[in-house]
Amino acid sequence: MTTNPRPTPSPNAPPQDALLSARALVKSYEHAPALRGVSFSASRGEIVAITGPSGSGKSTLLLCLAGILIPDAGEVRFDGLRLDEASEAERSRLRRTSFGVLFQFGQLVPELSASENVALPLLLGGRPRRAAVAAAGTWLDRFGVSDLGERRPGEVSGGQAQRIAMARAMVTEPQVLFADEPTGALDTLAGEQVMTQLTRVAREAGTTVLLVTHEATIAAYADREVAVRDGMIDTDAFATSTVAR
Amino acid sequence: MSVGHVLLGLLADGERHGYDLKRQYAVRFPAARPLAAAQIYATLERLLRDGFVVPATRQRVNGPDRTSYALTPPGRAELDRWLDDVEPPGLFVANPLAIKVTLALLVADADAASSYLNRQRAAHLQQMREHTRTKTTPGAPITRVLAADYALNHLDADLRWIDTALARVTALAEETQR
Amino acid sequence: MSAALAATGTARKAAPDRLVVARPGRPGLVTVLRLAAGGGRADRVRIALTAVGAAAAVVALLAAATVAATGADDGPYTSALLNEPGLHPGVVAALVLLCVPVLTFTGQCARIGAPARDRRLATLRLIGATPADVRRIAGAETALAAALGALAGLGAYLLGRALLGTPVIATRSVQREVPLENGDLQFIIESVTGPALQLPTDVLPSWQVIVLGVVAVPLGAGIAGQLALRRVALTPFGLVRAARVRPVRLIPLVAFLAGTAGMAVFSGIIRLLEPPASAAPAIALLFLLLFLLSVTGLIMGTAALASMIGGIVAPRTGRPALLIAARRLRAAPHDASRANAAVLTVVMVAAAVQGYRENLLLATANNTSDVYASGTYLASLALLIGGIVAALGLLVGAVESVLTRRRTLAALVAAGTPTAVLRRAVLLEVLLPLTPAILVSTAAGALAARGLFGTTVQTSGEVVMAEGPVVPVTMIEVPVPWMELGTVAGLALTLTALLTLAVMPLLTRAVDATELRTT
Repeated sequence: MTTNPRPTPSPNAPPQDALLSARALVKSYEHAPALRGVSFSASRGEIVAITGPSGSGKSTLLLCLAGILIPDAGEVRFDGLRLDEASEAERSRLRRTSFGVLFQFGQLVPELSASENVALPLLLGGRPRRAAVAAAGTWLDRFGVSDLGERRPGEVSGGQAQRIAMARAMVTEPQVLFADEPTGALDTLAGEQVMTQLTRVAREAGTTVLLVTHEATIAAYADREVAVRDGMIDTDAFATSTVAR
Repeated sequence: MSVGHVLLGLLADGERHGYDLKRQYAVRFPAARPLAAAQIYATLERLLRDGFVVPATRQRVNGPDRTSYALTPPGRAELDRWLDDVEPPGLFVANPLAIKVTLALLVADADAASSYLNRQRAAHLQQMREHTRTKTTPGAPITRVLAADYALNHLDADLRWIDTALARVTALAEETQR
Repeated sequence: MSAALAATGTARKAAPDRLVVARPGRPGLVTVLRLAAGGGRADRVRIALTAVGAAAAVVALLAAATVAATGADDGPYTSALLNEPGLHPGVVAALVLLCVPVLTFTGQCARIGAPARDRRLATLRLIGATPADVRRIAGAETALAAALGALAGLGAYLLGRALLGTPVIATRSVQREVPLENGDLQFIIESVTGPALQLPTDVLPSWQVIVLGVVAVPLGAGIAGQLALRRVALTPFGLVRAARVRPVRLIPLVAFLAGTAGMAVFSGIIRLLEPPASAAPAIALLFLLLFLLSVTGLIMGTAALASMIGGIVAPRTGRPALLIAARRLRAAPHDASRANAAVLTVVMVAAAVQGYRENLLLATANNTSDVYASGTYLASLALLIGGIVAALGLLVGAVESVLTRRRTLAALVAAGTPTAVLRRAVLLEVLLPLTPAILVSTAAGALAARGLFGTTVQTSGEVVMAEGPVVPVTMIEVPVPWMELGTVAGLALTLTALLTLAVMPLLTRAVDATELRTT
């Protein structure tokens, strides 16, 4: 019988390396519990997949970790700062500068051009228009969509729109990228293209990526997986062996 | 599908000798189990007997005879016919995972079965990561990407079965506890 | 749900012990009532707004009918507007015109998206109702709410008649004509003190007219509701604005400029041409055409104006709120244009009234009667009310703009956009096209008044007091009533800004993170 060495149960990175961590998170929506005591951590440069079936609470976990939702109980720490106690203004600023977010759809402003969409976080930070648009152009180029700069989101395909959205998420060179089912609305090949580029750019930039998905083929792009079930981490379904890069 | 048909296909673009066929098989089908030399020669014998191949040039290269084989017109026809045919989807699919889980439930208990399923899941996922890395390496040839896709899809199917099995075993355990 | 629909359609035909194949007949009254009444707070607010609008319209219509029914031997009243039968048509017209913005707004309420109502309508589509059916149901909801409001308005009118019917002691001016020896007529103004009614509560229009007024309002509201829903697609997945892009035309703006220019130089050119007195009706018609040209151009050109402003501002700005607002104007210029047009029309007419008033005050400066001054004052008041209602239409537009984009806006907030930036963007989206447009409309209205009534005025020299000298005829330059015009424009802008601010709480709730949950 083959001996599979039993990996030590740990859905979390070692505490001293943790860039982003959560402890005992509890969150309910109008008496429907979404998170029932979730602890999690990720270290710098990791790509972590958060998996689970629909309704398991994984999107809620992601939103809490990004400071978009405040948990009912528990704490979220980013680089030493307590996110759950920070003001909306502080968290908004953090999301503008240190975090990037990527959703399944509907995140680009349909009236703005691709270039303006990508430049928006920089404009919010006060950068002048010309510099912001130039930086946007660089990032559009990194994702292979530089020729779409003047198009509107409604004029490009789903895969192209997601790449524009990735450029926007990365334009402020964030430390953490939060992606919630980024390939959910795409076909297999478009999704593969998105994931390939996302992981490549993130690895080049050293960005930590938290990826919520219910598909194993997408989770396979990450270094490790954290499974959520019924609002709790499924400690049995761990997979901590990391692949040497 | 049989090894014979594969060899016919490999001979379609020119004559080859046995060792060459073995090498070509390994190059074209990197994910498949390699063919043994004996199996190749036995198959070639059969194809010869059926009239699908003929010996071509005989080379003498510092060693034993190396017979090259070439495709005959009937052989070409048989190859075309087989390529046209649809593969019957497997009726009997041997699932070693299911066998192990069944035995675990018989021999031990639901906990043991769950533990096995979880560890198997981790191993599957790890394998999927490696296939993903393979196919996303810049410059990967399309044959490698196709093979990786195929493996990924099947591993994904296994994974779905494992998740369902886990749910069923857990439900069973909860029921027997009551 | 389908059982209820089928039941109401075939109830009369089905024998209770026979199984009848359900025919999806037209939903009956009970079903519609149940559909209309069920729903959350937003639905109740919308129904309440519709009812209030309908009540106001009924009161205005009944007041108009009352004034129309008032004759020379009714009264006497404290206001010369009511005493002089010659002034009645103007008052009646003003009151009836007041109904137009009220009914337009009431119809717009049919569009206010409430999630529960949208879901109900989508469910109807799913079980086989056609878009026409659903539109009829939505219109019926509006009509029913308006009917309730109309009855309430009738009650308010009757109550008002009873409560405000006590006469007061007041001094009023009465004009009398006295024929002179040479055949001319001389106007004498007398002051009379005595009991008078403030409102024509002693007059009741005929019951046919009352019924007409009460019935016309829900009917009008229902039709307005149907019209408002015309371009909204009612899919089984909910209400979706039609994505059809209507081209924006510049011609209306050209028409507006031409019409305004024409009106501005009108009286000057007429004076140069020295037409015969018999041409007066033709001249009046010409001016009316120019006025219509200008107003129509204004109404139809608001979208072009919004699109132009958006196109100019957007590529040049790095301020996020301005960028978002300008791009939205460029992409969806027609959305707010109807409400914009209503506001701008009110502003233009109000400015014209101020210009007319200036002329009038100078021309009648020697009269002690306050007939004309109070007349224009009341007209301004009526326009103010009309303006408020028109501005409420803007609110509807702003609400829709936020609701249709709420997922995008929520995603922006999630990506770190401060809510304050989005609030500024909504405000800018409303004010950016309106501010220059209000200023231009004010100018156009003032020019129209000056164009029609002339920049100089003859003071009437024919008023003879009981004993006194004859005042000679003089020409006076009419000043531009800057203060009044500034008030008109300023009030319009302030009202608009305040009402838009009322949308902000909705915005805050719409971008809540719960919009973002996918699984």
